[in-house]
Amino acid sequence: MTNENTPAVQKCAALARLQVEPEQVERLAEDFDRILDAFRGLTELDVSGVKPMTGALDLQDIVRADEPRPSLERERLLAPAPKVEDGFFAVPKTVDGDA
Amino acid sequence: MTRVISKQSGQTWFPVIGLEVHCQLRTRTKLFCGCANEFGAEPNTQVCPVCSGQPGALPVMNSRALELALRAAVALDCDVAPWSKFDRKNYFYCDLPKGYQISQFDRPYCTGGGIELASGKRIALTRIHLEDDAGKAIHDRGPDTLVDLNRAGIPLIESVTEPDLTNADEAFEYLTRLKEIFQYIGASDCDMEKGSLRCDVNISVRLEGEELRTKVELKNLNSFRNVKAAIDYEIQRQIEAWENPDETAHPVQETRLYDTNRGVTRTMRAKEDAHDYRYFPDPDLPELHVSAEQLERIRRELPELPAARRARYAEQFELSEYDASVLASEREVADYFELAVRGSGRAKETANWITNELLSARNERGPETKLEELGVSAEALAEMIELIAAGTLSKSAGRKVLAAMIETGKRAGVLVVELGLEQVQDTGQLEEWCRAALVGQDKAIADIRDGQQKAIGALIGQVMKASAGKADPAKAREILLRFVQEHG
Ligand SMILES: [Zn+2]
Repeated sequence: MTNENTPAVQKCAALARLQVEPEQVERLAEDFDRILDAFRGLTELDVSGVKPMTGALDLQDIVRADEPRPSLERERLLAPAPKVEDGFFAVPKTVDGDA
Repeated sequence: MTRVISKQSGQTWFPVIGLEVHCQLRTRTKLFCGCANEFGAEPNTQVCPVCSGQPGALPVMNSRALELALRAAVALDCDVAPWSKFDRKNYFYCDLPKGYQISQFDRPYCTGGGIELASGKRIALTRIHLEDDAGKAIHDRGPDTLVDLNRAGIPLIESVTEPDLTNADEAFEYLTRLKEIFQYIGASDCDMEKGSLRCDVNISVRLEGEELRTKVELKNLNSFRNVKAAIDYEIQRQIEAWENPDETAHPVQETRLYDTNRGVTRTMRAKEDAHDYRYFPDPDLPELHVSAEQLERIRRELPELPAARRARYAEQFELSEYDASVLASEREVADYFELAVRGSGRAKETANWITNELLSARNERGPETKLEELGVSAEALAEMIELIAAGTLSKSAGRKVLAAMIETGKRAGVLVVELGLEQVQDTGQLEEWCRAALVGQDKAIADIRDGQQKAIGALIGQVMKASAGKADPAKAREILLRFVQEHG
């Protein structure tokens, strides 16, 4: 584990809730190198005077009227869930918060 | 600037407080899909592929949500950005099916603005932004956490203040004003019990001349009263913690939950990376543009706001600050009052009847009751006030008539006759009641002769009682005074 990106890989995996095996970390860190290099190239471009881009689509102000449309049948919504209780998704108890 | 003197050390501390308030917008549908925005439905019945984060589902902005958000911005005097955009705020939690919240990060739809408190102090807003709500996770029913996604995707505006507040009372007043305004303009119900208004508090304390110290975030505040109590508690807790010679006991940057039962705040156990949200522009949602014309129309259509009405009531109708404040704080009540004054031409009397009688009758029926549900129209109230002004009805009989109006929905003119409450103007009858009231009242009579006008009140009360409220108190007073002078 000599790659300087190793901690970044581990952090990304933790944030994405991905389990990454130690032998995968090395390979991913090398991928990170190439990806980050590509972006470093972008930062070197002179973009003064270029309007910032907020999206790839040449669209703006797409809105809809505030009119209700049918929701999903609850059975269909809940069907793929590993566990259901009383019409709720049932998930392992989370510790933080009692919102 | 509020100072808090430490009980242990005598040092002077200054609290620094900012509020983040989430309000659900009163739309019919969610922010990015057509599912109903309605409270109280069966769990998971108002959910579709968009708001449950199914692959390939695309969000489309609700135009009404934008309209209401802009009303809020204009009402709070914010600077609306000519364009804004949506960003993804990424985190994992069971109530967030998409894995991210759609929010606004570096380009909120408005910045600035603020609310003025009664003292004249202005609480500045940093910004307001649009975002979608998360679902609801219930932790106290059995071994699992239960998730209802009906709330996921409901439109929210989050308003963030500058750290301008210095005590719990200011926070309470700010929240009260904000709620009034949002309700007035129809932007939000602001009902904390239903979760349509939620408030987080950022709070720290510092010594004179110091920079800001470590701030703590307070959550789980489910009423304005709790916000107040939590702030008061937390100020004391932080002062004690800073004054502890053991540095490890000093306040740390954290989120604390308010425990309503024990009246204390306690550390919320959270993962360290919880705040690494990795914002980036949402590629599914295009930019949002707001034109000057659109803003001008919204400004024009905005109702007169509570602060302006309060000032106008005090000025134009010469109402007390209290009455003006009570009447103006709800739009329905304010509109009702103005309509009734137009009918009766008597602002002070109208204000008294509404604040003393109608609002208490309404509150007795429960907090959700609307004034309208009492069944007394503003015109009907005006008629009753006119009957009193004309001397047909005494004030105390008026109270009975009003109660009967609420009960039966009949007009005052009809009820006066039905209940036999027409004020007695007949001098012979009045004299009889007055004579009876004076029997055995030698002490009172002597007091009145000594110039103690107060004593007459009790005697008038006797007359009113004997006449079942039908005597004209002004005439009774005249007659009583005459009798007292003639007496003995
Ligand atoms: Zn939906």
